Amino acid sequence: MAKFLLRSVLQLCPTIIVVSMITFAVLHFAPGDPLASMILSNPEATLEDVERLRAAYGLDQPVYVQYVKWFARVLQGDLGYSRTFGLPVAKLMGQRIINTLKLTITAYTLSIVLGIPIGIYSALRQYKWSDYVITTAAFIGISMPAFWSGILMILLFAVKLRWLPPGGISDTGLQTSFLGGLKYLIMPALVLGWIDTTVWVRYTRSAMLEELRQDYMRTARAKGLKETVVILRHALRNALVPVVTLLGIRLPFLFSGAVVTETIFSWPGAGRLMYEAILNNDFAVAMATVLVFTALVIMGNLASDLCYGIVDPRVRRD
Amino acid sequence: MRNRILVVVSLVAALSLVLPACTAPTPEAIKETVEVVQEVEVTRVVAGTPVVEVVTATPEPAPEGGLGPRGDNTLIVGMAQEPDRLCGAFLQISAAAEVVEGPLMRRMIERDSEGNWTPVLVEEIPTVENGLWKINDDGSMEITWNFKEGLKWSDGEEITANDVVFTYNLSKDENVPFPYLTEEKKATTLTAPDPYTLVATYDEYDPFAWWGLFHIVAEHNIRPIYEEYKEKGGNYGEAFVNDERVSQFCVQNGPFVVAERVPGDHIILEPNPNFNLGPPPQLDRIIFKTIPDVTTLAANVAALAVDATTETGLDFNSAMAIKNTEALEDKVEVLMGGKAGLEHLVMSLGWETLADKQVRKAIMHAIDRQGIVDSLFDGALTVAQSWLPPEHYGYYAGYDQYDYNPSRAMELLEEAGWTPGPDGVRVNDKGERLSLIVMTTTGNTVREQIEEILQAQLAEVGIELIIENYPARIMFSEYVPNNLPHGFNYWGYWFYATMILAEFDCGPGKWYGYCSEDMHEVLTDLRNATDQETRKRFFIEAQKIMGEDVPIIPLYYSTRIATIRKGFSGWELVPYRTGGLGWNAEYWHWTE
Repeated sequence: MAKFLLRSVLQLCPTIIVVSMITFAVLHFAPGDPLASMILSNPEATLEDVERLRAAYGLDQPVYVQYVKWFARVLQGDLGYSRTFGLPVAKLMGQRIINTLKLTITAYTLSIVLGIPIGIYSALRQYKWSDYVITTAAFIGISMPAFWSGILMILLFAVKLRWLPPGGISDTGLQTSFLGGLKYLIMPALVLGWIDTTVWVRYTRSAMLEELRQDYMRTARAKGLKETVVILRHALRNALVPVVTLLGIRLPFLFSGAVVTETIFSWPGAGRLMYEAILNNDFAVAMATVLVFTALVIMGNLASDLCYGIVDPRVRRD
Repeated sequence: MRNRILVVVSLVAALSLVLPACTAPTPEAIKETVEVVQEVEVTRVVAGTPVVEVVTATPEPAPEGGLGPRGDNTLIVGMAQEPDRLCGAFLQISAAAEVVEGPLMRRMIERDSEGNWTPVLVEEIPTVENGLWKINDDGSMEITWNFKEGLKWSDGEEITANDVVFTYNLSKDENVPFPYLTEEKKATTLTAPDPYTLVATYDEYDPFAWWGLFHIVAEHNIRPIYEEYKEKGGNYGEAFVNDERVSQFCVQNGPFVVAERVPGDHIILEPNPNFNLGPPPQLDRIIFKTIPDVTTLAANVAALAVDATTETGLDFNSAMAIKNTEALEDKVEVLMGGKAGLEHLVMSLGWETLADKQVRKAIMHAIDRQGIVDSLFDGALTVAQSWLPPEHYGYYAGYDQYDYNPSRAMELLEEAGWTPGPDGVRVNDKGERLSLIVMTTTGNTVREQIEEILQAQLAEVGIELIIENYPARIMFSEYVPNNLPHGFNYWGYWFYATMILAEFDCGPGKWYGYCSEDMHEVLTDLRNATDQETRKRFFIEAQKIMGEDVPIIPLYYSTRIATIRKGFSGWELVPYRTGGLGWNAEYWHWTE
């Protein structure tokens, strides 16, 4: 296990470096000048102003030189400055990452806690009306875009019913209690987690149906075991194996979904920060957020591999 | 095995319960506020005349239960765009900054509600008549500013001319990425012979130099930080402007100070205890919440989660939806303020097709501008007949000769050599199609709708219009100004008088190809005019030329839109006022 962990961590480094190179190149070669919007806000800005600012920000140097300088600074723990906010990137990102993790972990947990039991139930009620209701709901759910369902939820729960706040992360300027923080989290977590819930429902249902047809299930029943034990201890255990492998694969979708959800619900997270940084050509922030997300996804896949080992002793690593 | 699964599930469940309890840390904030009762000399402009009055600032005692809908005497403002920096001298872009900057910083001179300049930090506006603005025979100038004594920064230190000189010298440091050097760099020298006198000299005549050197920092606050970074060497400029003591929490002189900023979420302002440019502010706090999605912002207004929105908040359609919601009629007021900007099409005059004035005039007749305003805005906005607003003293309706007349448009096109082709699109004798591109920034739904209307209207007279929109960062770097589409760029701007000199005169500003000798002569005379009457004459002349040359297609005057909860006083949209909505923040208060 220790060797596996060490190997995985060591693989993280070259992956991050390659991703950083590709991201840097894409950001710099993509159309759009980082100084364009700044300059065009002042109609009397001259070419001299443009060149002065370009030199001040180091944008007049070749891309590879800019990359090497950026990388050298990162190795020293300096992520640079946000041109948009006038703050060090590390300071800007710290709380944003926590906010995104808060949202994505809650959404992820909700989706698993809801999706897997519903999937099991649906499999056990195959071809019954409850199964049809669940599969139809899952189909509708997976088809609903987050920006649409998010706005609908805001209109219903915040505007019409006034049960929940329409966005944000806290009672601004006041110390927010545990329950107070929770009310801001409910809608965005549900919207973000809903698609994954429907994914877990469908995958769990399929996997369970596969296992329920196996010979060993007949053997287990023939042994006189209670049905609950047969389902949970035998069928579910084996059905979870393919489902667990999906845990890591779904993570990138969760982080990318966070961008839309965070924007709709004004949730100050890293997903929204990354999106705005790319739009505003705020290279330092864009690079830092992409790398953090890369690291999170890799670590998520690692966690998924470890869970796989827990669930299936045959693949457990020593 | 079961135990292991239980352990894993328990850990995950515990994490999901614990994390929601984590709240954003509260940065160190300026929390101390002191109730001040004082007499203050305030200059207001009444019917264009500065009037000095003494105001005794004693806030009314709050009613029982507190002021405002939450009883906390706080105003919560929703904005779709967030300012980058909160210290005016260092901010780079963002129209959002104006409404936040208003409560934080007052400039040397500012525009009042009628658009007249009024002195704020200085005793009077320099003019030729009062001798403070000297113009020499060779065009060089000297402008003297006399600062009022006793005005204070938020930390209690006095505002003096030395602060302006320091800012000017700071802007000369090439290591410091100062985005806006225009006003500062125009001055050849800037000196302070004494703390209350500022003397600026200019090598060349500039009629707008007296508008003032806008960006001032407190020398005692910024110099130590600047020297601290300069001593470190290297790329100290970038580190310096991005130090939050400089970019966010610098000392300023407005009625409020920044107490807290969480980027991407909110900005909290609290009263400045040393504010003496007006009466003490009456609100305990102003909270600016960033809500980037316009639909969500509208929902926040409807849910009464925010008390107000700024000019960079709701779009026209969202504002009208709020206005027409019966349940909000007695709770929320929608404000629309004046003709604040011009929505227009800039034509690529360097391209042969549009270089022909006849074609441009035909296009003017082919577009039903009144129809656009009536159908999209219920007639609430005004068709633009010039690039200046009707309220401007120099306004002349140079474009009102162009009524919607498709027959006349077709006549003009025929005369210009464009005849209908087999598919209905006109062609010239070379077989070239009369096909134009219109380009604007993506995400502006109103402009996108108007582009489709233009496409249909121009098709009726045989002009093909292709719509090509791009994100701003691509449009302004790849196409504007060096690779203009064969057609139009569609955009708008807030009124900015000196823009006429940049956009319509020959020289670097003529990036879209307009250069007229007649216009150049008139604008030169305008530039050299020293009194308003003379300037008015040349403004009118320039608009007559524009009406004849048609270098741009003015569509309509845009309006500033904001909302405010009923029961609040002072939230006023005044298009020409420096500081946008925040111009009178010290007077904001709840009335119930």
